Amino acid sequence: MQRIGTIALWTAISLAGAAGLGVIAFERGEPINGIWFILAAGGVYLVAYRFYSAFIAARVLALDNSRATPSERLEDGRDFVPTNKWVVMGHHFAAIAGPGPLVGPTLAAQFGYLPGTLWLIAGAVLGGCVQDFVILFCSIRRNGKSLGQMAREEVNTRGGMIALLAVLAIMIILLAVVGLVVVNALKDSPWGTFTLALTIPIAMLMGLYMRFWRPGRVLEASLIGFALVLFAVVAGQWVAASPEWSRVFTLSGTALAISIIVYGFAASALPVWLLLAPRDYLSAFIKIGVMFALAAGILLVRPTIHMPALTRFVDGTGPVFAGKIFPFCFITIACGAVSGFHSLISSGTTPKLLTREGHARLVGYGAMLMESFVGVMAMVAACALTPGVYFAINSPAGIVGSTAEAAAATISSWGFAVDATTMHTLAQQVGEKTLLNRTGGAPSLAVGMAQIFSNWIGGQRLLAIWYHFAIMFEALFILTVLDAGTRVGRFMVQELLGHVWKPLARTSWYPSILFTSALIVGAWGYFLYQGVLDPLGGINSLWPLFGISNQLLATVALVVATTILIKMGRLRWLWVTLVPMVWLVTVTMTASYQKIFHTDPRIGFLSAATQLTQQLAAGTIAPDRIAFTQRLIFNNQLDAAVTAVLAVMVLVLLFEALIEWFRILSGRKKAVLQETPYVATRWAEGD
Amino acid sequence: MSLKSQITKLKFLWWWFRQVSGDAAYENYLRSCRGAALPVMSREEFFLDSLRRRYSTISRCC
Repeated sequence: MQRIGTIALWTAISLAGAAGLGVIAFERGEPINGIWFILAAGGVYLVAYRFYSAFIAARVLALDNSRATPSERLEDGRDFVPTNKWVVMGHHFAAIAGPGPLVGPTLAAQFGYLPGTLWLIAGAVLGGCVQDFVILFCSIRRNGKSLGQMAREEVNTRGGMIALLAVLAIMIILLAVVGLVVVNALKDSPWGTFTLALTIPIAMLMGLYMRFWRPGRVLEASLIGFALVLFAVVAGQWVAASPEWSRVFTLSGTALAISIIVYGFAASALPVWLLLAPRDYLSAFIKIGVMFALAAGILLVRPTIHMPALTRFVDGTGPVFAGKIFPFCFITIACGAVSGFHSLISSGTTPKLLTREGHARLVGYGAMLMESFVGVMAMVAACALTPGVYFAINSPAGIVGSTAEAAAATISSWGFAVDATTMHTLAQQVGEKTLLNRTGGAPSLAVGMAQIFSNWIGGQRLLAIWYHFAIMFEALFILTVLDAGTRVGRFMVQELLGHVWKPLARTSWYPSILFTSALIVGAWGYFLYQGVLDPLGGINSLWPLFGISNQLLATVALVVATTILIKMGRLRWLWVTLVPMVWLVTVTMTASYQKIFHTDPRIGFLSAATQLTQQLAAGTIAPDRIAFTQRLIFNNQLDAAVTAVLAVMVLVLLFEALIEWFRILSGRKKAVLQETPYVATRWAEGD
Repeated sequence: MSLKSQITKLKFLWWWFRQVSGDAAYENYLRSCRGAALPVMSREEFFLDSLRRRYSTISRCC
């Protein structure tokens, strides 16, 4: 009887998911409701978790709960700590959830809601979750070793170095592009800038509280911090209303970029307890709270989706970023479907906490499903905007013009009706001077979220507060990524330079701290500055570069995973990692090729450089812009070189892995796994 | 659903929240140190040590 009930339940969940997918895939003409997205995603995720992840756990990986995990064998109360699976799930989700799944789907909405949503769901279920799960399993079986160490031991020695360099490169580009998202969100916005600036002393106050007054009392400090941040959001409107203070906090893109660069340097060099850690605690709380609130808001408000299923920009001429659906939809969505960066968390802290191998399914596969769900919610929030408004916010001045009238005329000519008055009124309602040309996704997502939240609580009266709350939330945890990333990047640079001169590897030696902090901040700061100067808004060149590097890292992770499966003799189930790996190689190599060599200057870096060079030679550039144009040419060439180096590194790793696979499969080489030997757990089943 | 089971669920939620946030980390550490030969760190030392460890490796993602 119970069995019939279970079958009926799962049949109902499957049908609900299929109905949701059916509506979003086939409904045309009439606007659909956002609830269908939730139904489609929720149904597919549940079925995938119940059946596909169970299949991977039982057949592909053969998880063994009788085998002692590193947290049991190496327990030290600090790094290796046996932890309840729901707590590990919370830690893991807080670590993997970043700005990518919010920004990527918002940008990809320019193709319409359908391509991005389908990839978010399918990519996560078949690619991203599998990658996170398998890498977590591999690391558990190797005492919590990192992806780089596993690449070195299981593929070859060069593999480890390639993984390290790829991680460093992705980090630099990631930090630059998220910095650019913050700049574009706060540019000429005294309210937003004031609120975010105030989070710095608030974090420091929390740091002092947890360091001296009440050591380690994280919840108390976070509660105080949260109350102060809410006050900062409300106080921002008084600053914006005051002519003197408003002037102080109205910063241009360049000024904001320089401020963020200086801030990044300070955060990297200061003690972690003072700024980085308290900010991280605060942002983790707000991040998880807002994600739950957004889910509740969508369920209660049930917003109508105004964006069509497909827009004319599937042809590659999109204003938000240039390029066709294949490969750029997949490159742009990145983290919400497959994120290479997650493999670093799955082979970092998480494997040292799990008490049973079986828990890797909930933590590895399950947490990524939640991450993808966040991406679907971001897609709903972006597509709930009127398409004309969405394009007016997200299109750079270089394409639609810098005045409201010009932008409205261009966007309306594409078939998305919008007028200057609408944009002006909306900007006033959210407490901004303008919402035009705010590329980067954060402002349009904030408008979408504010509309959902204000329909739920407060109505039009609170629209401006909700908008700035959403901006604060996005900027706060982007800056946390910036702090934490800069610091880890600094350690990586120190490790690399330590091979050249040993003292540089000493992480507590101040001259080395300052030197390597300056190096890493200088690297991402250069790309950030380049993005701010870019007449096309910067996102057009930097976000695809970030997406490519992230997906290349995912390729590295799946190459390592496939190699390990081959060595384990699981050839029958090899497609589980091989298919997403082949797909990622195809997408990333096509995207890399197009970003370097495409003849359209908005897509190909080299054609953009050539076009500018020809304009210089023809004398069509004004004399005062010659130096600037030369810098643009260099930047495009640099972007092309970075893309090429990343692609070549991954191709080298792939080639060496293929040779390794061939030698093992043809019997020329014995497969030697670097797993730790089996040790039976001493813990009883229910522990 | 009985009141008792609701209270149990709320207790679990509070326990989970303290664990995930790191608020209970020192209590867990003291528990794991029981019977250990090593000198036990003070709450402040443990807090600083755990921060140093956490932010020396990739702990936040994109």
